Amino acid sequence: MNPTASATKMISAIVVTHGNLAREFIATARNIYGNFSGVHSVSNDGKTPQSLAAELEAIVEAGGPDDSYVILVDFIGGSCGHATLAVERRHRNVHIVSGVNLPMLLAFLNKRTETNFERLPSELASRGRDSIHAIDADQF
Amino acid sequence: MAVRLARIDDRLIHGQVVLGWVPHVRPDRIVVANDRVAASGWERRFYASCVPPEIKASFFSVEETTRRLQSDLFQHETLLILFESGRDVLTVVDGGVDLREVNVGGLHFRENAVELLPFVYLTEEERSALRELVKRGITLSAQDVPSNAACIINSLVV
Repeated sequence: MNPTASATKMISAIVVTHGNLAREFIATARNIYGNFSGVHSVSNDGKTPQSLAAELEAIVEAGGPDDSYVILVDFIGGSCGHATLAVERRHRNVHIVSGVNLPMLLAFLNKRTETNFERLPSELASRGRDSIHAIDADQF
Repeated sequence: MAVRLARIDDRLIHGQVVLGWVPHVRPDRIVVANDRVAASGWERRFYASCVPPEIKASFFSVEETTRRLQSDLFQHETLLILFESGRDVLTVVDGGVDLREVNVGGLHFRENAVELLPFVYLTEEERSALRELVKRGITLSAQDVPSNAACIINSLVV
């Protein structure tokens, strides 16, 4: 077996949001995590659900056969969710997590090389969800 | 049957509709008039999941919408009807449904489309469908969300 084969497998993320959130999530994550690659941002601004899906598909299809993609979408209703689901249904190497937040994106960067692609979405969902609390200041 | 809002929006059910128009017009039911969605299980489930639980949702082909709007079925309900294009509205109107005003809420950039407003891009085909609606006496009101001003675009499509 070619020992480099598994090393060339890569899990990328595509952050898909309304407005400029996706771009800013990535820029902000760079400030915290340092530089990284393999994370794309896509906005729904001015796009039909179909043209948005085509843009996502172009990213997925530009990758190699061993590459896989986790789409981090802001919420599943609306054009971002529609386009994301349309692409996921057509590609076996695409999974979706909704409710993207900064802890979730940082968790993706930390876990993508050590976590199986099939397990990664539920781990990212947990991380994103677990970061949300109503804070009781008396606790501190 | 009272149509509270008939809207052209290529995103069909989404945030502007659910958070903006639904509280504004308070429909009993949202009708999505679209051949593709009516025939697609996952799209029907997707759009249904976006609708607040107190509001009913129906997904019909354009032809079935034309029939249902003229039957007694929705006699006691107020409706918000969503279309993907002016062509589909024209089919319903020419099928006998009486609409006085159509909200143009979102026709986004496509190949060969010309910008009319930031949320309204028209291909020649779309422009000619809207022109036909104007000829039938319909007011075309471009407005993305209720809190923004409406712009009557009848004179811009003829």
